Amino acid sequence: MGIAKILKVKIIGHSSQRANIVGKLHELGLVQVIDIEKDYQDLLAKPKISDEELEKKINLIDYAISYLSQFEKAKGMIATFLPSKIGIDKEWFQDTINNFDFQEVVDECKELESKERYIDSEIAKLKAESQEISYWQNLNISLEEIKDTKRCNTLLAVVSSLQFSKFQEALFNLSSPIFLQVVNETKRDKYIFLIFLKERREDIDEIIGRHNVNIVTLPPLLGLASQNIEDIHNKIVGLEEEKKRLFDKAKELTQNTITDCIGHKCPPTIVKLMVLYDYFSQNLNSKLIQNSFGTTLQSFMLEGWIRDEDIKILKKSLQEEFNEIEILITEPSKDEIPPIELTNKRVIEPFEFVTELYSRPLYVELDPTPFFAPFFALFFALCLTDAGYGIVLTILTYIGLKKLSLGRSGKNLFKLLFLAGIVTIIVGALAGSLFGIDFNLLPAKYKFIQNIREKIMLFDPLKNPTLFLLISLGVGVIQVLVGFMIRLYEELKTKSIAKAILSQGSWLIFIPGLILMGLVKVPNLVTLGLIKDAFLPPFFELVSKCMITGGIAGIFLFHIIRSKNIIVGFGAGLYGLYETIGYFSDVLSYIRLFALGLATCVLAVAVNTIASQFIAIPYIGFALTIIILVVGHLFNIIINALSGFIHTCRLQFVEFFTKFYEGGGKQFKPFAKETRYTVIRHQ
Amino acid sequence: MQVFNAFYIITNKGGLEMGIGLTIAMAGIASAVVLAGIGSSIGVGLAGKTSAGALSEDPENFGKFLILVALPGTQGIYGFVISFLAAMQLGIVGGELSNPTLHQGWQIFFACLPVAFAGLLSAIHQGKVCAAGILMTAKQPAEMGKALVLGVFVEFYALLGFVISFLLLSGIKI
Repeated sequence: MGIAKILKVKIIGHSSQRANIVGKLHELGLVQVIDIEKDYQDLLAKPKISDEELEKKINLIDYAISYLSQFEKAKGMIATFLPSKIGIDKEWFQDTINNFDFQEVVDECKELESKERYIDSEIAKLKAESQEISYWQNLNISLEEIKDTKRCNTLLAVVSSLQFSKFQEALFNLSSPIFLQVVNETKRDKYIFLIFLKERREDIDEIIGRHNVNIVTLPPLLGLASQNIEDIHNKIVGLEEEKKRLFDKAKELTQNTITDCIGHKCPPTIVKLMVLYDYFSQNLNSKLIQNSFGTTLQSFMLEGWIRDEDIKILKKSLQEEFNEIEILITEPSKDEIPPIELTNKRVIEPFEFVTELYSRPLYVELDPTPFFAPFFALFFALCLTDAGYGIVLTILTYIGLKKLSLGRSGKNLFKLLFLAGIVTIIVGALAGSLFGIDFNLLPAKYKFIQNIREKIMLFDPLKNPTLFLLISLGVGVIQVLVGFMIRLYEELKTKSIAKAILSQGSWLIFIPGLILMGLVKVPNLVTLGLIKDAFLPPFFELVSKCMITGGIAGIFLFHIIRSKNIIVGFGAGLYGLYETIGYFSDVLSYIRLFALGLATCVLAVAVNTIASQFIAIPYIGFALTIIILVVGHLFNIIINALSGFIHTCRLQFVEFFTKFYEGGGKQFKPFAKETRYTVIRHQ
Repeated sequence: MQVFNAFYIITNKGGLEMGIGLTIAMAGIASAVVLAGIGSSIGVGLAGKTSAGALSEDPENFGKFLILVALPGTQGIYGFVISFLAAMQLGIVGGELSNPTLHQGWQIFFACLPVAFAGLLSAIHQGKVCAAGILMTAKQPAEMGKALVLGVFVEFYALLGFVISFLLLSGIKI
């Protein structure tokens, strides 16, 4: 339970067997290889081992995969959140490695991409051209005819509308034959066609310069402007069709499942690329890992971490196969920090998801997972508080576990929700709520359901919310106290017994004392039906006073002993007592369970009430009601399971972990055949 | 108080006292949904905008961002829940319409305010935290849990407002 024991392993072998030993280690996947100790650093390989050719191949394949993946079918919501790997048969995996020519596909991708780029730039160019000509489409002469004649010059130009009248006047004042046609106008500009005598060129240029007129040069085209625009449009349509053909070709590479001659279904080309990517990366890894080794002329040495339980397997399989090998196992020294592997029982294991969300424990710490797991499930259940929702959640996560191919953390999350769903069913039954149904409205012949419900039911969150609120705070108090107990246990191992008991034990007496005092003093509890008499017997008051005094005395004593000075210690003790406020607010934070649980209950009732309004509609009323019920409740489950999960996480991280847990451990990552895209299916 | 008294007198003279209590209660019910809803809309809007920007880098993150975008939406739901409860209490939904007095009307009005204002402001600020969390998740996808927990810190105050609104409502006898 908790954290696996990790030991240090040193393997020394003969250089001639190096590649084989590395291969075997890669296959076994038991040892996390680390750089060899500082003392041996000069034994590290120089220059560093690398394989540029392999890296280049991987880069090419990576490029092809990322190019093709944009044509893949859109992934579902779950797939984007919990990416899964593609299962591949072993034979087929081997076949791809041996026979698949990735270079061909990479070249094809490159060609497709460059064609696509070319088409895109052509289309952009044509669009700009057609935009330019579109201003002149009213011009009723062919574009090639706009050129200088023997005695005349022609011009196309743009004049600002504000300047136009002045410009026109200036031209007419020249008293020379001029042809001016306004071809087109926008709000700001006028587009003009001008013909004038060559000998007046200089005067015209001067007028043009004075009135900020822009001379336009159109691309060398034949025919009418309007005809040209149509031609360009047709060209663009043609190019876009070609682009679509390219896309179809690329899609073929990602989607088509080809059935080969034996009847095996081959996955699409992109999967083949993925297989090769994984295979090459594994090869590269097994080469690069050797940079951590120490080498001499005849031998090599590697160091790493290994789990205690795996040592036997490692020794057996290595010594069987290789004769010249030495395996040394040592305990990690004090200044070394071993990586963390969590090992919990099957029921607890899913909750490692939450631990990993925060931070793995340090090697010397306790694994918090088994301690918070029951609280987590209970708190989540309190946030939903509906047996019906529990059932739905349990079924949905069960289906998810069976149907989806999930990674480790994805599986853990679904299992966690499955377990929490079961607890939700129990809590929901105790709260007597099932899809927010008002059982009082049931017809008389179904009254027995109401009777069963009342037998199981402990409290009705809607009728007796105060009790629900107190339950939320109560579980909070329990969790905070459990936190103190774990801290006490940890300190008993490292600190002196007296100090540990004084520092943590004082709080363990003080806080329950305060609560007991509260129970004695608050007569309200009678009205809630929690206690029978107006006051607990006076005996309890005495007990609570003793506990409070004892707790306070303990806190002061602890600080006085620690600071070795009565006055300083007394001050520190006062400050220590101030922490009570912090713990008070910690407990208040658990009110969120009440609020979320209540919100779920009321929303469930709201969905039912809204849906029932529709049943009166003739013909479609019934179907409409069912649709609203299903959609409404599903929405409620999703949104509240989400809030419930996150808020419960927060309670663990902020209220519970702060009492005893630090975290910051690194994950144990053995040198193994890891893949990014695919996983070999074992039949 | 004087204003309220004046109101009371005026309404009494007009003989409208029976209706005015219901009207004021309805104003409260409406404000819980409206204010908390505005808060959630702004909050979700902030987070949504940011996520759209961050998605342009890596569309694969959509699922992760969706949760962070949805987080500031809960305040609107709390407002809705309180409004629904108050509406049930008055018999506006599922029952016979009751006729609260002027005092009861104001009581319901004020009972709705905690969730309305706590929801309004916490949703906006939660939206900002979530937007920042989205940017963090875009760079460090493994750290999404931390972004969620940070967002939840802000939500707690909306939950407190919800609890008090609920307790106040359940204290009003009609």
